[in-house]
Amino acid sequence: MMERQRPHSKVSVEDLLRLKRAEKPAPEFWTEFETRLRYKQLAAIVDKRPWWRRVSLRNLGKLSVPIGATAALVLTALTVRQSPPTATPTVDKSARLAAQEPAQAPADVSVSAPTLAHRSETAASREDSVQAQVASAPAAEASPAIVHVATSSSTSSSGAVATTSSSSTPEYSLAQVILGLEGSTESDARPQFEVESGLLSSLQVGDFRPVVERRDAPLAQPPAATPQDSRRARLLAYLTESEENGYTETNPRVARSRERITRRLSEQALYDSISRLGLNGDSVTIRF
Amino acid sequence: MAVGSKLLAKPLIGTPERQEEASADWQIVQRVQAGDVAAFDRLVLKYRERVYGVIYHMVANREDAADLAQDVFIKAFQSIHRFQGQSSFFTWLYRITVNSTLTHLRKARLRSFFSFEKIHEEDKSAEVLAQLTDKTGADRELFVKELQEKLNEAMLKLSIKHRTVVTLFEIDGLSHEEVAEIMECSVGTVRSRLHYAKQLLQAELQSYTRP
Repeated sequence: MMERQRPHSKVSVEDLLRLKRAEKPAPEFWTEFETRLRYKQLAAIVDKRPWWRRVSLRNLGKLSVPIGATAALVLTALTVRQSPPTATPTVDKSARLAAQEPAQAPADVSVSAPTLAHRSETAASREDSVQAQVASAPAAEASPAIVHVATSSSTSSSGAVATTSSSSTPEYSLAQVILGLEGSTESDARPQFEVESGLLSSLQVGDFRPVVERRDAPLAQPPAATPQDSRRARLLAYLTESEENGYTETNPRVARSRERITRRLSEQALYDSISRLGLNGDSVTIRF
Repeated sequence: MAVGSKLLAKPLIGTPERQEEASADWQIVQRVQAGDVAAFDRLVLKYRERVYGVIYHMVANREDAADLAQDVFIKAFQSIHRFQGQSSFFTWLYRITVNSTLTHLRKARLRSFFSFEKIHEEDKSAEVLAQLTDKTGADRELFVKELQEKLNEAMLKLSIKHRTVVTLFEIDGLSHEEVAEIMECSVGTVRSRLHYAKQLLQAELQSYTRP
């Protein structure tokens, strides 16, 4: 039926497509359209878009440099905080002099900054000041002295003062013992001594109670005591107690105990380093 | 707040009328960006028929087209703070329209339900129909309905990209440059797609057209 009329048609494809322009909805359609659009618009305003939709890749690209820099800073800070300090403990000349003159006036010896190389203890335990009741020489030759034992890492330094009633020679040896125990896993850890004379006047003979003082206040926040710290303190207390009671190196029992304590402390440091470094075969994992 | 103080970031393509229109749109957009939400209604009122028309000619379903058109305006409203006048608002809105429709068509590739709007016999369409048939009354209505179905079927046989080009250029009356800008391709690509699409349509609708 249609075919009979079509040979007369002179329309083109473009004309036929223009017919489609005439396909339009009725006016009432737009009323409904408007209502539904309003409803959706209100819903869109009320519904908060999730954050991942608001973050576009373009914005992330702009922020890549600051984000990367921040990440690098955080990583650096964490690494420095976790990394072992460089061990450059030195003994002050005055401390040495005091050590050579036990009969002289009591010296105020400050042991500072035994930074321990190759040590993977946490910064918290490293910064922890050594608290020990140090007793050494026989009471007859004992002259009151103050030993400042201060430990410091590469980034911060903190200190503690251990008050003792020993003369300078035992002080030096005790400090060496303490610092040697602290850095028992390191071969190049050397204690550093500084003589401070200001605290001398405040010293009471027989005052063996450890005095703790913080040196660099802003950076030296005392960390929370860990089980390792308490264990170390207990062992050190036992060690110093034995010295206080007059036991000497010649006593085999004392020597054995000291050896055992030293070994346990070394093992503890070793466990710490192993647990944090995670040396498993050919892979190394670092836990923060 | 001073509205319209900023100029469009990029010189617009098209006729002076189109550029004037773009400047007016940009002023409204700036008002919306400044917090005048009601100003967006003017943009909706201005472009709703064209947006709906583009979608409808591509999906051939009036209900889907209505939903998609509403979604397009919602998207535009949500993203209007990011519009910086790099192109005209009209081009930007059309880009959202085309992308939303393409996404919809890709999702609903396997299912296709058709529902057509009625052809309003106005000046041009009445002239074309007069050349196709001299029937009147119910027969004429039947003929128009049959022609409409054939036209839509032929359109739906085109690929999505070819259908988009035909819709924007032949039905909506945009220029090659505007189509290229909306579809983010070259003018040559637009011309090529248009030529190919017309060949296919010619083959499909040859019973209605002159040889």
